[in-house]
Amino acid sequence: MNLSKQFWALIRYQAAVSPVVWVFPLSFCAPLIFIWRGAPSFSMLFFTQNLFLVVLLGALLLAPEMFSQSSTNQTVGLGAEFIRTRAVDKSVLVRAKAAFFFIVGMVAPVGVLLASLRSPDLRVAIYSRVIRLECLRCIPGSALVSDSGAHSNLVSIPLGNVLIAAWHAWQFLALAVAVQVFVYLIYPCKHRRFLFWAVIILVSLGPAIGSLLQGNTVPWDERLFFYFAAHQAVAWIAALGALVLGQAWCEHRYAQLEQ
Amino acid sequence: MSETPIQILNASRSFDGVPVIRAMSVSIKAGSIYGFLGRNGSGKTTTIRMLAGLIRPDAGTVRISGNDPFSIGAEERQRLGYMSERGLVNPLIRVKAVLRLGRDLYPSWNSELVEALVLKYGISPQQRLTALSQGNQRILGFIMAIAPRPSVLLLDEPAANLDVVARREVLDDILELIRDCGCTVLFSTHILSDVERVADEIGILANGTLRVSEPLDSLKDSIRQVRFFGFKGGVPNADAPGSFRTVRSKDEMTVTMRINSGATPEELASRWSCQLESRALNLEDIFVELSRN
Repeated sequence: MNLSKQFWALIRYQAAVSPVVWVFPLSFCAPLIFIWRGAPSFSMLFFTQNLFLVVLLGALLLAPEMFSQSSTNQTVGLGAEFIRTRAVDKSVLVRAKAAFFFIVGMVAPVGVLLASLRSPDLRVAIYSRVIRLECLRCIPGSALVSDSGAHSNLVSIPLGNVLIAAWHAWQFLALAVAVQVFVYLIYPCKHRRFLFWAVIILVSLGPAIGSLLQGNTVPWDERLFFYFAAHQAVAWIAALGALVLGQAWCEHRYAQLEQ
Repeated sequence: MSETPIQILNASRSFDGVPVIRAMSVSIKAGSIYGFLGRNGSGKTTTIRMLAGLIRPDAGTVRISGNDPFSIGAEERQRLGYMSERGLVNPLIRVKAVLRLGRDLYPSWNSELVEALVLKYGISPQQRLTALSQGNQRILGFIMAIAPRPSVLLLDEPAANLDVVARREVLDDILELIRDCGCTVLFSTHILSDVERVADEIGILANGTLRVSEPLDSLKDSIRQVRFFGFKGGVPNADAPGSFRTVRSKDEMTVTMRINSGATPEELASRWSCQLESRALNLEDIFVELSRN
C-alpha cells in the first residue's frame, strides 16, 4: 500500500479518534482578542498562559498511552497498540500523528495571523521606558506617537499586529517541535508521566515566575520578541529546520521504541 | 507461505530485571490453531506482544512468516491479524471510523463478513465505542483482526472481561470463524474448555517457561499421574525422568510425568521395588499440575 494512502487514512482516523482535541484551537485564539480590539498595554500582547495546552495537546495526540493507568480496562489502552499493529509503516504513523498535531496546534495561530491583516498596524502604550526604548531600537519603523504632553507612552508599530501574530505563530511552532521531540525522548522512561507533568508545570508557571524574578528589566518573552522582530527570517528558518530535523529524529526514534 | 509461520526460538524477556519469558521455543504449523494456556502473569500476553511486534525479546528470536515482527512494515502487516487483550481504541470514536480505517488500510478487507457480523450483533456504525457493550467491543476488535483475511492471527484473551453468557456467545462466533478462516491462529486463554473445542495444539506456560507444546490428544495420552507406593527401601529422593511435579509423603510418591520420556512407570516401579497406580489426566488436571509452582 502506498505511503500517501496510509498517511491520509491515518489523518482521517486521527481526526475521528479524539473529538476532544478540537476544543484546543479555541483556547489558542486568546491573542485574537487583542488584535481585534486593541491591547490596553504592550505586555498584554504577550499572552503565554495557554502555551502549556500545546504540550498537553502534543501528548494527547502523539502518545495518549502516556496517560494510561492499567492494562485490563477497556478504555485505558487508547488505541496505541491497536494502531501500531495495523497495516501501517511506523514512520508514516509518526508523520500522520505529527501532521495532525501541527494542524490542530497551528490552525488558531495561523488564523490569528490572517486576522491581523485586517488591521496590520499597531498603536500601543508602552509604560516602561526601558521596553519603549528597546522597541524603538529593534523594530524597524516604530516611533513614538506625538501627544499633547511631552512624555508620550504611545508607540506606533507599522505592521505591529502582524508581527505580534507572527510571533505567536512562531512560538506555537517552536514549542510544538520541542513537544514532539520531548514526547518521544521520554517515551521509554519509566517515570515518563512525572517528567511530562513536570514540564507542564514548568511551561505554565515558568513565564510568570521568570517575569517576577527579572525585576525592572525587559521581560524575557518581550526580549525574545524583539530578537524575533529583528531577525525574522533567521527565526523562521531555524524553526522550520528544527521541524524537519525533529520529525526525522522522531520517526527514527519511534521505530526503535517498544509499545 | 512458510510451513511454520509462527516461530519462537530461545526467546527470553524480562521487565525491570524480572524474567517473564525464559528461553521459550515453539514452532506453529501453517493452518493450525494453537491454544496458549497459562495462569494470569504466566507470560502469555508478553509472548503474544512479542509476536505482534510490540516488544522485542531480550534474547533469542521471534519470527512471523520468516520476518522479525518488530521490524515489519505495512506490507507484511497486511497478513498479520492481532486482537489485543486491552481496550480497542479511544472509546469516543465511532464504529464507522474504526471500520473505515480497516477498509482504507487493507485491500483484502472482507466487507461482507464485517456487514454480517455488525448486523448480527446489532452494532450501529454511528455508535461511539463507549455505547457498545463489552461483548460488542470485543467483537469489533475481532472484526478488525479477521476482516483483512490475515494468514496469521494472534488473539490475546479474546473473551477477556466478559460475563459467562457474553463470553459463551462471543467466543462461539470467534471460534467458529477462526476454525473456518484457514489461517494460522494463536490464541491465549485461561479457559480450558475454549481450547478443547478448537485447538489442534496447545502450549502450557508457567512462570515464563513453556512446559508443554503438542497436540491435545498426544498430550492427554502421554501425561499421567502415577502413584508409587509400598516401597521396600523407603521413598527415593530421586525424581522420575520426565516428571513435572512430584509430591512425596512418608510412604508414597505421586508423580505427574510424561510416560514416554526415559523410563516407563513400570520400569521405575521395578527399579524402586514398589507398586504403582497410574491414572489418565484430563486437560484441566494437566494444566493445574503443570502450572503449579
